[in-house]
Amino acid sequence: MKYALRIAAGVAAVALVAVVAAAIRVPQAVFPAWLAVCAAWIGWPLGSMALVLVHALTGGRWGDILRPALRAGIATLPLGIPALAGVLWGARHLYPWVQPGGGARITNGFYLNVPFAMGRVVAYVLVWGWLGTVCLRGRDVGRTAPVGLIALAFTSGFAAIDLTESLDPHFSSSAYGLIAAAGSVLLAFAVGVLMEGMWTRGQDLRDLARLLLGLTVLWAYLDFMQFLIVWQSNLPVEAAWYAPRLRGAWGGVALTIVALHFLLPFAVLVLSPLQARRPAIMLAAGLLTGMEILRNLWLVLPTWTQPVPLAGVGLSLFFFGGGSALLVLRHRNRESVLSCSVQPGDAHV
Amino acid sequence: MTGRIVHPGETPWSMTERVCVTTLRPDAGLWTPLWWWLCLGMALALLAGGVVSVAWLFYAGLGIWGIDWPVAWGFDILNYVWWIAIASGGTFISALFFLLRAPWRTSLNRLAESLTLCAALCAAIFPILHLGRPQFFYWLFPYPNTMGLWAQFRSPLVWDFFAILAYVLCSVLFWYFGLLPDLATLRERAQRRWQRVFYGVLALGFRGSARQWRHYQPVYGVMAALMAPLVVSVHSIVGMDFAGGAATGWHSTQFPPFFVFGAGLSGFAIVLLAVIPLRPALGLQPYITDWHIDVLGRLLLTASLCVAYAYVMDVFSTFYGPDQADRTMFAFRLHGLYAPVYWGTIMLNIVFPQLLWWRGVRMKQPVVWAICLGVLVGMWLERFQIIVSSLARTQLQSAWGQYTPTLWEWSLLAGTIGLFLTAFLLLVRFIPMLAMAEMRAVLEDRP
Repeated sequence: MKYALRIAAGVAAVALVAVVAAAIRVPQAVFPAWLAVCAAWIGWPLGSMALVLVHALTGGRWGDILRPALRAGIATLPLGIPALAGVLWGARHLYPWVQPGGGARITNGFYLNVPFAMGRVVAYVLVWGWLGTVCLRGRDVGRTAPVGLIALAFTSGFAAIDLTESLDPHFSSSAYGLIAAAGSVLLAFAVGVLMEGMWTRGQDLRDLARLLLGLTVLWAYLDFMQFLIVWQSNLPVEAAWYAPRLRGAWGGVALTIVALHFLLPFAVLVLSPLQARRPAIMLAAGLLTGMEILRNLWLVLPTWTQPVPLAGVGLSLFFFGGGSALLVLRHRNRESVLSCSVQPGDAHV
Repeated sequence: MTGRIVHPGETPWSMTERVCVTTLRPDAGLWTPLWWWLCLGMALALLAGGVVSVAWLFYAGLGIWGIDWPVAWGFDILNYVWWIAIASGGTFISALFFLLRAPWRTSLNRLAESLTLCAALCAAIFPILHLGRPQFFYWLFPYPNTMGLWAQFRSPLVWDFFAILAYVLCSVLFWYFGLLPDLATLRERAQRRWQRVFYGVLALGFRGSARQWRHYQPVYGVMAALMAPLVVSVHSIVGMDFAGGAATGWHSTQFPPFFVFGAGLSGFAIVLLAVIPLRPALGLQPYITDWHIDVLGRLLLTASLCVAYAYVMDVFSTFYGPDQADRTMFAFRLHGLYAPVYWGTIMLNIVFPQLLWWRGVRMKQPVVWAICLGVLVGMWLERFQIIVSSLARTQLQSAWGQYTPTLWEWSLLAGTIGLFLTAFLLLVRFIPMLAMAEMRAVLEDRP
């Protein structure tokens, strides 16, 4: 365990140093990649929190099975501090409305302005910090869950608008927050299946497969509805947002997302004989995890006409991957210490 | 769990006996409770008003309605959207919760599905009346007509035709298929000849053999799996009817899920509205317990919160988006001619249902009933403000107008309420309102 911790810490530290050095020299090449990977990663802890809170209200075996993985996902929340710091540092390179005079060129300056955006960031940190603490402590989750879910729905929706939708301040989609929330929950569930599926069998595995199928369909439904309405209406402002994402290499990525984020996992998860086969479920969960990361890159990176170097994406992935691994291992270490210290007859921790 | 779904003393035999006696009434001749006759009388009176209204419409044409440029969609579309949303409750409870393996839905599914059928019937009338020349209703079918023109397949109005048709057909099949074993039970227990013939014909030869059950159960599961996406698709396409339009306030990417949320809210409200008085009237308290009311109350609250989220995002998108006309229209909603409609929507759909956070309120059935009635009115008002407010304040100031429904439109709305109540009361009288076969399985599984 210690060895793995050191490796994870080393990877994260080296990647962070490299990202900072590159950001000073070529900010335009690093900050978009950082934002894209950050947007993908944040879905994991937020989705995990949502699932823990939903489970506290509804109950169900799925939540008991996934609980360790969901708690591990929530334990990565502290990574949000360097993540958000990076986004704030590079905001001038990312968001047109932050640039000098940028606010004058937009009609939604009442929302997209620096002081208000900073206030929202503080609100997100406070709300997510509070919910994360409640979920990890494990006490009073049921009592907090209704209010917590409402707070999470609004904060995660507006955070998605702030982080990625506002890259193009002229684009507006009322379903954007819902899509981001559905993607986050799907990511958290898929990662949970990847982490806990190895030890699950029988009806439990089938239940996980069905729920994963339901979440895949939910995300696909919301995302497709947005696309369909934009296509059907063909308004210049909205078409301009989709155009760079559907042409050239990014068009290929879009097709890959359709095939591997929806069609293939759907085909695997919908077939009853495959729902009981662990390799098939793990494949679907792996695809969904990988494609959710790719989808976030697809959302962010085509904003710029200049291609973003893959090195920036790679370094950011190493930082968030290493950092997440470090925090998950620390969390598991602490959990195992706590469970060893609990004597028979003690209350469940 | 089973203890909360069914009273402890109940057995499969006692349950079957109670439900069959309520439906067949073997000892009381053709006697039917007074409350039923009174309700039917009121329903028929409303229906008669609706029939007169439709007859006059066919004679005089659409000019008898208040619709005109720019508000060319009035009560016809409004009521269609309202009724189809009400119809969703049965499908959510019956199909979705069947797939989620929630055993409590067994107590409610027959009643909820019957409500779905009656509401879908009312919804299906309006698009045909809206055509102006209802004798040409088959023009809705996408067939190449004499001019060689095909329907516009990119239009959600065409998708709507397929979605509604599929939904109504599947709802009828799902309801009827689930009813077959119970019809067979009634046939076996009927003492009068007409009842034996009536239920015998309807039971389609269902005998309850092992072979029949072996086929029955997977087919029911497949139908449930079909119904769940169908109910989402039908409301999504209704949402797209608006989202694809160029009217102010309609172009919103959240409309498909928003209409699904609204459908859930209306659907749960109508189920509660029917369950609360019918439980004592039909003697179903042992099978539809206070716990069911509690669960339905929570579902109603959840749906109300989802709708509230959509309202908030609607306001936000109006001001965040680039269209000044949307903002002008929204100001009109808040302060204009139809402002009471907007504020009524907020109060009835969002504010009052928040009382359901308290278990004490959820246990007070008159209060829950009043909240549900408010929600149904609120959902009607919501449709009014989406359709009428938007059309009344278009992008061009020179094309602004207003809409005042006429007596004929009000009487048509009342007529469909009468049709709904008449159809539902007939089902309540002649069809078992508890799914006996499924309930037997729940009772037999009880430890």
